[in-house]
Amino acid sequence: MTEGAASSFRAALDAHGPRVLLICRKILGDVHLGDDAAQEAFLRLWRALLRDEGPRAPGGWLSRAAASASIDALRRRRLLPRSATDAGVDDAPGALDPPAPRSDAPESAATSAELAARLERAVASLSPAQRTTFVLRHETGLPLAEIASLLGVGLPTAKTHFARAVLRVRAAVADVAAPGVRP
Amino acid sequence: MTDHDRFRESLVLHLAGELDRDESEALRAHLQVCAACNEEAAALAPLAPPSRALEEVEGLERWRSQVLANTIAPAHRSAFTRRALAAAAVFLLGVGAGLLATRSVSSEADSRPSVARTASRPEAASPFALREPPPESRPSGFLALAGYVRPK
Repeated sequence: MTEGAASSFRAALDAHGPRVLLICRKILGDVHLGDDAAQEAFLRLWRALLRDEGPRAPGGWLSRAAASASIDALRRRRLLPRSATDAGVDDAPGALDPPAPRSDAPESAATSAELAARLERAVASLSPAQRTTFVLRHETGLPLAEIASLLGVGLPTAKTHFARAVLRVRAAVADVAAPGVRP
Repeated sequence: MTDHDRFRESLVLHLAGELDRDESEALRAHLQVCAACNEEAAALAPLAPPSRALEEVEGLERWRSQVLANTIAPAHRSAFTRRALAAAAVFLLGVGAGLLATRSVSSEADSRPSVARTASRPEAASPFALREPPPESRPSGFLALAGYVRPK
């Protein structure tokens, strides 16, 4: 039984490990915390496999496990509320204001590496709830209703988190993203 | 928050396919009258961060080894331990059986004063008590094994 579990586990680790690792790092905004959360997601998979309750589609299962492990980590660090009752839309002042564009980055020098770096910084600067919603929606394709349930918030709140996150990230890269895109 | 801000958010949700029917209707009605939002709608391409090639994930191998060390490796170790213990038990049972066989052969000719009775009297137990049992108090295989692994 363990041999079958081990081979299923290795296959899932090879197929989904990099993606799960990136998701967790992005949500937590920290490599070490992200690595721990990603490991926790795979530990959950391993325990499920040992109980003979392994998922048929480990990709989606691991997306949820990664989301859940990352959200748990944010809650332990009190970066996310523990329950829906105290979970509001964290509308930090200036949340929709784009960060000031870097003056040393002329548009002509904007490369895809520059764009990627700007995106990364913009995502990292989101509030934990916005960042979690944004990363999960983009990286896992989970519907907002499901992300809302993982976060313990209502669907309207998750929609607001997502929309504001997108607008804020877009504003942060508008000057380098594509011609014609206004901030 | 202005209506315009609200509709910008609706546009994002619309592009992500996350707008319900009522919200879509409201957005459509607003777009018919709002030039600014129309421009916004044209400009707002779905914004997905470029996903890096998976091989480029920094520290992936180190993390992967760590995950394996905490999942499959301990299970393999414990499976190995179980096999090793089983092999040791078989070996010890074999030794015990061998001892019994030796004793049953030697006890037939054994006329020395028996010290085996001390085996049933723990206060007088000797390390050799099980070596020379008389036939009537010969220990079972399990006791022989116990005597072997616990020679005191």
